[in-house]
Amino acid sequence: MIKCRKISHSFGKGGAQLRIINSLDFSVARGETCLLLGPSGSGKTTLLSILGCLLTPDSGEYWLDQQLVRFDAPHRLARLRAEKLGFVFQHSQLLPFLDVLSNVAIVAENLGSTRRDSFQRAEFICDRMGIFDCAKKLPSELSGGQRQRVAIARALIHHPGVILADEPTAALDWERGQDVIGLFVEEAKQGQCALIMVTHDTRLVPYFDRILHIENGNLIEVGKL
Amino acid sequence: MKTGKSLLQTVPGSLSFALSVAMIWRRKGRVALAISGIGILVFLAKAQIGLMVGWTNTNTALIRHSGADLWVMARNTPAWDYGTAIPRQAVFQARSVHGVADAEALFMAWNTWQRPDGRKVNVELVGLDEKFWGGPWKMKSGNLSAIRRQDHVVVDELYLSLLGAHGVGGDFEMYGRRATIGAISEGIRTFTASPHIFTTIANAIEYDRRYGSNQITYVLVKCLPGVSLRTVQSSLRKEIDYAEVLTTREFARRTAAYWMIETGVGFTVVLTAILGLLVAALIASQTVMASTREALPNYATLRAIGFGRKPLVGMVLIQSIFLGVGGIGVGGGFFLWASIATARTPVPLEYTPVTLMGVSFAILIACIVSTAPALRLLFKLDPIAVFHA
Repeated sequence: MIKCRKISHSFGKGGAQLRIINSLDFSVARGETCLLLGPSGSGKTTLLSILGCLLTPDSGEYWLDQQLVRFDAPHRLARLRAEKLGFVFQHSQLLPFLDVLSNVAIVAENLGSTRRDSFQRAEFICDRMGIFDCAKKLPSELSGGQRQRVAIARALIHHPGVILADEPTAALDWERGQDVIGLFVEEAKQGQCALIMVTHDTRLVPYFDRILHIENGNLIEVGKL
Repeated sequence: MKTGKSLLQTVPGSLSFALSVAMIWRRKGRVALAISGIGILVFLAKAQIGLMVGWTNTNTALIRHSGADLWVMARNTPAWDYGTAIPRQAVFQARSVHGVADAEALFMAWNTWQRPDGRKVNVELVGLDEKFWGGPWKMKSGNLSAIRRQDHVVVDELYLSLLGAHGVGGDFEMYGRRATIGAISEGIRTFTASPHIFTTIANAIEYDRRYGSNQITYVLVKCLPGVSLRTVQSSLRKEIDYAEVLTTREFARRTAAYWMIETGVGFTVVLTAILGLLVAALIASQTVMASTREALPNYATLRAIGFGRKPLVGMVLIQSIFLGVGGIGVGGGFFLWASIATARTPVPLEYTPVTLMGVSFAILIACIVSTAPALRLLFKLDPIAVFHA
């Protein structure tokens, strides 16, 4: 589903240039779940941004669903993100002016579904995520765990090929975090999505198929279950 | 399980529009405040233009309602209110011109009205000829023919209290000569703050001894049906070569231009209206800018999850247009109320469809243009910010 070949990225210029990603080669197949570990500043979020078509790498090739990503066409990138990718952010990043259902439904409607269909799909996925009871609530009225479930529902509603998650449990206690991750991984597998999750929390390792460690811009595969 | 409808489900139109409505609804307090501010400025701008329209209508009313096609006057007469004497013979000369159906004289001079309490008021004394051309077109009480009686005049109801009068019959003085109110007209305003006092030419000349009995101020000419106004105008110029001949429209335009442009009144009014528009645009800009800045993380999220720039630009523009339309609604409603409330006052707020639509359109354009800083903020937005929020 994802294939990176010699992806590199640096920040800064001249003598102050800092290489964050160093000629990375890796791939992730459909239905595979990967945990990306690494210390702060190791390049986890940078890599996630490149995989999410939000950041243009300095060099290398990135193939998404057998399609070479052209970073020089921003409007195509937006479409690619809408069609192929699902995102779950550290602080859920739900739209505060929309209720739960609307937060989820807009992704489908942005892809061309009618409003009626989008809301039907949103109701279905919210039901699966156990948040249907709070469908009419605003994000500010939800607990942290509920918010992340909504974020996961938003990432899954359009059946993306790849889901990128940036420390989705960082703001949750361990018990709630476990619940959320368990559900997340299960849904991703059921939907045959490639899931790449960045985290600091090594306790989540058992939930994932592959463990990748990034340090000093280099990616090391630590283990495959 | 069924739930009630979300706000987004109830709003028709595109997703951008629905999201904008949801954003506005979320900040409804602040938006209402901004709309009120813009509404006040829309009212200010419309009131200024309304004043100008009202003034222009007022200072040309006697010309426009005269029923005359052409006006003969002394050369370089700047406005109706500043006519100078021409010989009465001009009326007969005008009548002799081919294409003229009839002609009548009109007298106009400044005078002083003395109230019973001794206070003096400047007035514009208007002397009417046999058929009362150029006189009041609407009477409140009594008949215009009352002026045919010696020392009788007609005043307007709007200025009764200024003139110290209570109705028909009061006795006053003009230059030491008695003036009795014989009838009262309705809606004959004055732009100069000096009320019009109507009487016959003979009476008027009695009130102002500076003029001889063979002097008048204007000749009002009505043309025969079907003749060319320009041809008659040209013939009149030849026949009365010491005077100037203008069509009613030209004379109204000259009078309006004198008061609005030469005196600088119009400039001040238009400047205030423009300032109102600019401040309205500034309020809209500040509101949209603050709203966009506050919502930047939301816009970054939308970009990250696959929204292009176009729908986001649409959202910012829709919010600005909403502010503009809201302000136009509030200010326009208030203006219409004020224009009805002032309709029977000496200073009415009047409008034409063009001025009403023009100011509204200008406000809308100003609101749209004012989104530029907010849009610049949006264009600079890097969706990667979503990871750092």
